[in-house]
Amino acid sequence: MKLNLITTRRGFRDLSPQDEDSSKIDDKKREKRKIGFGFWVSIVWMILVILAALLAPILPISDPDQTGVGGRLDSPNWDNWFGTDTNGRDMFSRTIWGSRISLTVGFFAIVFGFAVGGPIGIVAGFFKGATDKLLSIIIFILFAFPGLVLALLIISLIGQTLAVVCLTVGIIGVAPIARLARAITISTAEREFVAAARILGSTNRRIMIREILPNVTIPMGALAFLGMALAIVGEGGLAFLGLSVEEGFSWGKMIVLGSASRTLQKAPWVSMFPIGIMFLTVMSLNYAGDRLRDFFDVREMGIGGG
Amino acid sequence: MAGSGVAQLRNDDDIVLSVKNLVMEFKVGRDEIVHAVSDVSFDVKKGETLGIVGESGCGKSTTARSIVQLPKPTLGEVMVSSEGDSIELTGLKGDALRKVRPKLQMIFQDPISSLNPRRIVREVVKEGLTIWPNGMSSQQIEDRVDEVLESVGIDPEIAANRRAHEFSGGQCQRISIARAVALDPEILICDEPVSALDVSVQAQILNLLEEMKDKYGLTLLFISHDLSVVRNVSDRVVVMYLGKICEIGSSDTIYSLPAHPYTRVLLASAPEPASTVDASESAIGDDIPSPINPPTGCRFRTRCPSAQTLCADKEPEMQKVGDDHFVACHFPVINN
Repeated sequence: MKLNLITTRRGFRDLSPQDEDSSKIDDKKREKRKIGFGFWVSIVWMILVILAALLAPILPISDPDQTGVGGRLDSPNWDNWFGTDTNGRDMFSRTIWGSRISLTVGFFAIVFGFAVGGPIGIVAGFFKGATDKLLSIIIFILFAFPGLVLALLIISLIGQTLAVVCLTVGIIGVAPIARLARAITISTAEREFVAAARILGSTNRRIMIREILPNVTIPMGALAFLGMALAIVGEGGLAFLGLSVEEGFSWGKMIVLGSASRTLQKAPWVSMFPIGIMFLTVMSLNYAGDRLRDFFDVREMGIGGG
Repeated sequence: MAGSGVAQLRNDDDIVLSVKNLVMEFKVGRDEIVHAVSDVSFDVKKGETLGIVGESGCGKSTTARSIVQLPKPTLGEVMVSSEGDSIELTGLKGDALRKVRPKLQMIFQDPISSLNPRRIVREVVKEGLTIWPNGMSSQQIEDRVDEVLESVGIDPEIAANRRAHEFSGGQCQRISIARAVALDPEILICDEPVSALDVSVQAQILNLLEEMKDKYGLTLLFISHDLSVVRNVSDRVVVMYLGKICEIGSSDTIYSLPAHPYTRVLLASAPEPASTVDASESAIGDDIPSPINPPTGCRFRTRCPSAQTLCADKEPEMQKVGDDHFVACHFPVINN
């Protein structure tokens, strides 16, 4: 009654809620949100590499450990696309088989890093106060501890198995992952939908899982790509120090083998092919991660601006 | 002028929300304290709409937040009554507090930030009922969600697969209202619910709130800095200044016979064509003082046109100046 005064005075009584349609704005936003051609190229490359790694046993390639497939240090040719190494093993086959360990380390190290660092960061950022202080101290100690020394310590103490290498690289990732999760959680927890959930009577656990987690996951997902790239490079670094897996071989170990100065002079392809494939894979991961982050930043801006 | 006291509290049976001597202080830095809300008391009857007005920074939003215990007030009492039971909120913790929460729901200023961008709108509205099914079957819950969505004018079909960013600000505010009323609350606290919206949409949302109030038997606490909005929705109005209540009374009284110098200044400064107060009174010097070091005595005295030495020495108490009209001022303007 009293209300109708202002509404009729301003003449907006006829507007139904559906009139404030937002579909037009929405289309504009969608247009801005294009993720770009390069992203898809990266994704296709990653799929190719992953498929090759998964299907290695059934691909028509020679046994990677079979010596004398070609001559010693043959240059790339029709039979051995990537040439052969000092023992006459097919480099193409070895590059594919070698990807299995590199990718496994990349994947599981990040899974471990997220599984441990993510919850630490979310809990620290959500509860703040004493909990945050304690967890932040742990994060700082992890940051301050030299990663390489930590890796040396763990691997030489426990052993050079695949699981230990994954774990080691993963532990090094925990601190930066936790720190980012904490930062995103703090900014998300300030938003009003979190207060609204609390007012509805949500428990802390429910708020963290239903309200915070979905908002942390996507920006963190972009980081996962970057992290995987770093983990793959990290494994290569460990291989250089002779700290990678004992059994089998990875890109890192192949690069080490090919980088003996005489091999490098006579047959650069022995190291260059694994380096090249690793480079392309790491670059794809980085680029895709970067694009994803930008993409979702735009989305966030779109949301904020209404 | 900004003062204390509880003379304005009524002693009726149908009081739903009663706030008594509410104090909210925040520590800043080493030993500085922000006195955001200082000794505020008011009550709301069932079905009533209480408006709270004041400049930004006067503590109106902090009052709202401390009523819902987010965060808990430093001192004071918040009593919520429903179906004959009275519950004091500030003493409650953990699950006991959670169980009372459905009775008090809130709508925020920023409609977009109020909704989780990663969740489907229907899920957002359903959230409260998922937490408190109260013996409802999942089908009954779905029906209830449909019902509240329809009553706020959002198509349940559309809400079923869209997220908040696909709706406009006004629509988001409708969704927030749906989420709040789905739990059948006793009191709905609206913290500047229309300040972020276009004027045309503001009117729609205000009308919707009025409809919702009738339909679901709500009691509203309506906070805004917009005097005309508050006037239009409120039965009673509280005027706040620097964490204190200046004046409280029925909406008509406050707007037609403002007794507190601050209320008069506020009304005169509003860009309203037909003002009941002479525009010359709107000349108000200086900025609002810091709540870290509020003035002694009456907090409004530093800007008050009729301040005298008494105002600096003694804090005015709430006094009755008319029928349901209370003022905290040593020199209220009564004869007009």
